[in-house]
Amino acid sequence: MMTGETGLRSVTIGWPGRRARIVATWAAHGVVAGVFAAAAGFKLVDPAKFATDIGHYRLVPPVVAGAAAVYLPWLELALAAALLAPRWRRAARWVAGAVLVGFCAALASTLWRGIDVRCGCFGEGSATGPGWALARNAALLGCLALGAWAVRPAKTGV
Amino acid sequence: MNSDATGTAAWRVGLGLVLLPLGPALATALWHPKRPDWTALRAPEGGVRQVDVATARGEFAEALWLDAREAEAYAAGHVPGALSLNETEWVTGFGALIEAWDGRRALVVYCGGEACHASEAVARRLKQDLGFENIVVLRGGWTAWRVAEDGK
Repeated sequence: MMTGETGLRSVTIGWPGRRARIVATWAAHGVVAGVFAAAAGFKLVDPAKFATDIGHYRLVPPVVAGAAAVYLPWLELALAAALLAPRWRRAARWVAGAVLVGFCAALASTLWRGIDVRCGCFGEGSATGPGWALARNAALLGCLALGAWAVRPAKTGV
Repeated sequence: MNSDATGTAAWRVGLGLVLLPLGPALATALWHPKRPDWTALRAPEGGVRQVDVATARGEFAEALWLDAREAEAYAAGHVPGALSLNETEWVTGFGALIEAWDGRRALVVYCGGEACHASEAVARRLKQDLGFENIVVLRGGWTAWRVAEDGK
């Protein structure tokens, strides 16, 4: 598919076109940003409960769980904002990806060890088990990959 | 503009994103009305002692047993004499406890097995609501109890 005009102007070569890439870029980053912002909001309602949820993973000492419970929601909020800012979204994708991989590793470890935990992903109201939470995080990682792909400059020709 | 800005060093932005939340996180830790209880977090399991089946039968032979699992699990089988008290139906279970408990007997709380947390949560809540300290959690829960029973 070719868009634009031939001649001296540069044209975009290949599929999809520029407009589709813009839509994909904003949609992919927007979905992840929305989920992060919602998760942060719910966790900030009751950090003590979130600390308990983290403690149930039995991966870190209770004091570290408490520190993570007050830090992670703000990190998620910062990432949500940065994912929507073109100047910052590249770095935000990497940090968000690392955070999601960390979450996935923690969830997978509970399945491996046979520990029955609720994920705690959305604060007190979330009773999602580790399997569904893993699938959701994998989908978010997919969104980040889509965003990284869509945001790359399209191949151009003259 | 659909491409990432290239002028900004991504690693600096990334570092900023990781460090920026430290400020509000500190404020949350200090002043949030529902901040983690740092004193309790220093004590393992929120200060609730865990005992094995043998200890529970010996040292806590006169204790009142509480089943922290859901009602269906309790109905399917429970430690003889145990009352049902879970977080889902707290008011009902707590009322039954107050009627049956003399205020002095130790309380032994158990849930499904090694990997459940309901007994810890119920024990902590009881300590808070009753102001009663002689509450322990059965390590291994119902699974450990049944194993011990089968081994008799």
